[in-house]
Amino acid sequence: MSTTAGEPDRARRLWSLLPVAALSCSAGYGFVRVFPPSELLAVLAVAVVAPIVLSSVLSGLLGRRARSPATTPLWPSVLLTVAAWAVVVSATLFHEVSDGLPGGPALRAAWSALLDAPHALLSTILPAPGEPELLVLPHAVVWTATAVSAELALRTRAPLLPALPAVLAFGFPLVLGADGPGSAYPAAGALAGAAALLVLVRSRARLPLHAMALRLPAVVAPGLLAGLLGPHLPGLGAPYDLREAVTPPTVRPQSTSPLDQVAAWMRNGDERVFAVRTSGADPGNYRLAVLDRYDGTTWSSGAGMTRTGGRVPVEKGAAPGRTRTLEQRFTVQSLPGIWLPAADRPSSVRTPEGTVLSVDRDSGTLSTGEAVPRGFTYTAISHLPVYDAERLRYARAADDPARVKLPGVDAAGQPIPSVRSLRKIAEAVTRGSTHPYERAVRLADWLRATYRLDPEALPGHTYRSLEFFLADGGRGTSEQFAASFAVLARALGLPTRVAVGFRPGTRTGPDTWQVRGRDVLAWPEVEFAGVGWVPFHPTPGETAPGGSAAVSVEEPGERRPADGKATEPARPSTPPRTPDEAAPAAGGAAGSGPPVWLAAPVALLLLATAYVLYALWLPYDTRRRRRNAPDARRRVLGAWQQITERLTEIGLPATGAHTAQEVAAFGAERVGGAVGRRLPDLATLVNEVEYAGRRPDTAAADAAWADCAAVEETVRRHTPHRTRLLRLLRSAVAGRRPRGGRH
Amino acid sequence: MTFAETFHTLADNVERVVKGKRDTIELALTCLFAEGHLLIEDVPGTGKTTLARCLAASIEADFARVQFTPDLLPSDITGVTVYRQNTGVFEFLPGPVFANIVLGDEINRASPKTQSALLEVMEERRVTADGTTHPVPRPFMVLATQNSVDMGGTYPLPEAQLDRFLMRITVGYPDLASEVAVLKGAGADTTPESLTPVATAREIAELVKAAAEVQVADALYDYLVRVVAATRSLPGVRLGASPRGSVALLRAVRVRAASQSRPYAFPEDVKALAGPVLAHRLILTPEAELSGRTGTDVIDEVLATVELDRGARV
Repeated sequence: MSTTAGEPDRARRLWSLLPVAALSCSAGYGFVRVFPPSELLAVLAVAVVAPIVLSSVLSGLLGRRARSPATTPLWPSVLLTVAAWAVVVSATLFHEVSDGLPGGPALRAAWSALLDAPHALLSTILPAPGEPELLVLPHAVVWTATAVSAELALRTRAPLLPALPAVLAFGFPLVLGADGPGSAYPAAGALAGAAALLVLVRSRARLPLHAMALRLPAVVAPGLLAGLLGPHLPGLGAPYDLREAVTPPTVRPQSTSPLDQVAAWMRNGDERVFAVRTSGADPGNYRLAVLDRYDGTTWSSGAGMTRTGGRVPVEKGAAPGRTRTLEQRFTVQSLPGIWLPAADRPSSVRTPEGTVLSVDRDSGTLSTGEAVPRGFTYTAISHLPVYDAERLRYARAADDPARVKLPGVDAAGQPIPSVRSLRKIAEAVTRGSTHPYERAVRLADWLRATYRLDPEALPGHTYRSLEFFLADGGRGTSEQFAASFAVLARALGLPTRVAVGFRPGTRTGPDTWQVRGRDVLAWPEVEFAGVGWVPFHPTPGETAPGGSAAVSVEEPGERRPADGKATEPARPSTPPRTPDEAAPAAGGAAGSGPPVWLAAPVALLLLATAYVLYALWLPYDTRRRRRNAPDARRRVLGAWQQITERLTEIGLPATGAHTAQEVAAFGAERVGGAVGRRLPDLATLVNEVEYAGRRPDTAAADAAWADCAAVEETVRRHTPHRTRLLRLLRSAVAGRRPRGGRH
Repeated sequence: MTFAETFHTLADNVERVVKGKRDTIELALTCLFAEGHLLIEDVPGTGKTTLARCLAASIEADFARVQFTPDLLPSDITGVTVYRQNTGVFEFLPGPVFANIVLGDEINRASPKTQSALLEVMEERRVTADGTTHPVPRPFMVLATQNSVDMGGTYPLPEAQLDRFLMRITVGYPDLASEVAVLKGAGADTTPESLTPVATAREIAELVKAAAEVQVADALYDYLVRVVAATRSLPGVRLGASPRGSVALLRAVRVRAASQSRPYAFPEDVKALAGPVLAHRLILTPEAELSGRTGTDVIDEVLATVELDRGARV
C-alpha cells in the first residue's frame, strides 16, 4: 500500500538502481559473444548509466522533499528516455552521419540500422565487426532494458520484477551469439548474482548494513552456481542456432572458375602472386578456392559467403585430431579474382579496417567480394590438421549426397557415355579395396604413377577432356589430375571436391616465402565421417619442371606407395573408433545412462521436493527461533507473533495494521475457551512490553507460549489438512518475512 | 482523586442527563483535558447543546453561551471598549469568550467575519482589542455546535478554523433503551442545570498537566506520524492532515491513556482517536465527495492499512 511508504522505502527504491545497473551490465555483457569487448564496453556504459540517471531524476524520488512512491506520471519519463536515446545514438554511434549533431539523417540511419541489425548479425560470423550499424542493436536493447528496469524499480515494490527486462534483454545475445566465441555462462552467472542482489536490496525486511553484508554470500552463490554448474547441467545439447534459419546475403563468386586459371598460372610461372611471412609451424599448401559442383563441363563453387568480423568457424563434423598452428601475413602482388589464399582452413583473419570480409562456412575459403587490389595485406591464423593414417584407414565416407553427384545425362536427356567409362576405370583401379580411404589412396597413387605433369598441357576438365587425359593423353596439369581424381572418386561414391591453391612457394628469407604462378596446385579432397575433408595429391609434383620442391608432407595423399601402409593397410579385427563414435551424442538417447529426456522431469521433481521440504521446515524453524529467543521479552513478542500468524489462517486479515487488542478480540471470538479469555491480558502484556518498556519474567514468557500452543491447537483443529498444506506451501514463497509484515 | 477517577466521575455526571452516549461524553472530556476545542455536529434534537451545557455544569468554572446568528458581530463575542464619561477613560468590557467554557451554539450561522473572531482566541487563548492583549482564563475550551442539515443561510466553517478544533464528534440518535430512559426522566430533575459540579477549574488545569506527562514510545510516535502522513498521499484527498493534526492527536492519545490509568500510550489509543481528531481536517477532491466518501472513510482506510511498526518482530 503506497500510503505506508516512507523514507526507508524511497531509499530502498533508489538503492535498488545499483543492482538494476548490474543486471543491465550482465545482460549487455552477454553481447561479448557477438562483438569484440573493446568495441562493446563503451556502448554498454552509456546504455546503462544514461537511462538510470534519467529515470531517477524524472521519478521525483531525488531531493529532500521527494516522496515515495514516485508520483510523477510515467509518460514524461518514457518520452524523454526515447528522446535521450535518439540524441545519444546520433551524437555517438552515428556522429559521422549527423556531423556530431542529432538530426533527421542520423536518426533515420540509426532506425534503419536497428531494423536491419538482427538479420545482419544472424548472417555474420561472430564476433561481428564493431560497426555503428550493428552496435546500435545492443545499445538499444540495453538502453531499453535499463530504462524499463529502472522505472519498475522506482515505481513498484515487487522484489524481482525489475530483473525481468534484463532477463529478456539477455535473450538477444543468447540467440544472436549462439555461434559466437566464448560462453554465455559468465554473463548468466552475473545476471543471477545481480538478481539476488536486487532481491536483497528490495527486501521488505529492514536490514541494517551489517546484516546486508552477512547476506552477500546469498548473492554470490546464485551467480557461482549459474556460472559453474550451468555448463554441467544434464540435458544440455547444442543450443538452437537461429542463423541456420536465416539466409545470408550471398556473395556471387567470380564467374571464372579458379580451376580454369591453373593452366594460365602455370604458363606464367615466374609471375609473383603473393608473398608470405610465416611464424609458427612450416607452411602447408595455400587454399584459394574450393569447387564442389561439377556439371560435366566445369567445376564451380557453391560457396555461400557469409560476412565475418574475422573469425572463421570450425568445419562441422570435422575432428582431425592433432593440429599445428601457423600465423601468416599475406601481401597480394597479382591475384585475380575475389578469393584470398590461406593455409588450409584458417581460424581467424585480420584485414585492414573497412574491408568487407566474407567466408564460406563449408570450406572456410575467404573472399573480399571484389577484386583484391595489389598490395593488399592481411594476416591469417590456421590450425593445420595432422591426420592419423590409422584412423583414416577405417573411416567411413561421409554421407554427403551433394558431393558425390555426377551428371549422368546431357542437356538432351541422353546418357553420357563418359560416365560409364570413368566408373569402370575407377572400379578397375580400386578393385580389391573396400575401405573408402584405401580406395582414395589407390586412385591417387595410380594417377601419380601413371600420368605425367606437363605445365604446357591444354586446360580443360570436361568429361571428354578427362576421358582423353586418362585414356590417351597421359599428360596434364594439376587441373586434370585433381579433376580426374574427383570424378573417379565420385564415381565410386566418395564425396569429393576440388581445391585450388598454391604450394608454399620459394623461401626468400628465414620466415618469408614467395609464391609464384608455377606454384599453383589443384588437389582433390575427400570427406570422411568424423574426420572432415582430407586432401589427396594425385599430381606427380616431383616431376614438375621448375616447380617448387616444397610440398606438404603431412597430407596423407603425399604418402608413397612404397610406404606400404596405404596400399596394404593392416586390418585389425576391430576398427578404431572415431571421436564422434566414441562420444555419446549430445542431447540424444545414445549411451548406457538414463535418457536425457528424463533429466527435466527429474530436475523438476527434485526442485518440487526441495520446495516442499523447505516449506515444511520453515515454520518449524521460525517457531523454534521465536520460542528459544535469548530473553523473555523477545519470547513474549515471538509468541504473540506466532498467535497472530495462526489467527490469520482462520480469518484475521494479514495486513499488519491490527493492534494487539484487536487481534486479541478476534482471537477471543474465534478461538474461545479459556485461552480466548486470556488473550486480552496477553495483548496488554505485549503492548506493555513493546510500548511501555516492561521486562517480563520467564514465567510470563512461558505462559505466553502456553497460550500460543493452545491457540495453535485450536486453529489446527479448525483448519482442514488440505487448507493447511496449501497455506504452508504458499507461505514458503514469502520466506521468513512475517505474513503480517509490512507491505 | 486520580486523573482516571476525575475523568470517569465527570463522565458519570454528564451521563446522568445525556444517556447512552458514554463514548461521546468521553471524547468530549478527552478534548477538555487535552485543552482542545470541540465541534459537535449533528442533526437537530440529538443533544448537542445539552452535552455542552452538561459538560459546563459539571465543572465549577465560568461558563458562557453565545447563540450565533447572522447579525452577530465580532465584538459581541470578544468584547468591546467603551468610554466612561464619569471617569474619562476607555474601558474594555470582556465578551462572553472570557470564560473557562464557551458554548458557541450553531456556530455556522454567524458570518465568516464573526467566526474568524474566534480564531485568535481558540489558538492563542487571548483577545487583542485596541492594541491591548487580554488573556482568557485557563482552562479554556470552546464547545461549538453546528447543524449538519438545514444548511440554508449558513456559512460553512473555513478550513483554518476547522483545523483549530481538536475534535469533531457527532452525538447520534440514542438507542432504544436510552431513548426510553430519556422519556421516563422527562420532567424530572435531569436537566443540565440540575447537575452539580464535580470538579473545579483549578483541578482540571492540574489534570491537564498530568495528562501531558503520559509516556509515548518512539515506535508509537512513528506509528502516529505515519498515520497522519498517510492521509496526505491517498487518492481522493486534496489536502491531508497538517502537523497540527499530529500534535492534536498526540495530546488526545495521552489523555485517553491517562483516563485508563496508564502511564504509557498504546496504538489502541491512536486508533480510537484518529477519526474524531483527523477526519474534519481533510479536504477531499470533488470527485471523492460526489461519490459519498467522507473524511471518516479516509481515516478508516488509513488505519486499516498503515502497519504498526513492530520493531521487535522476531
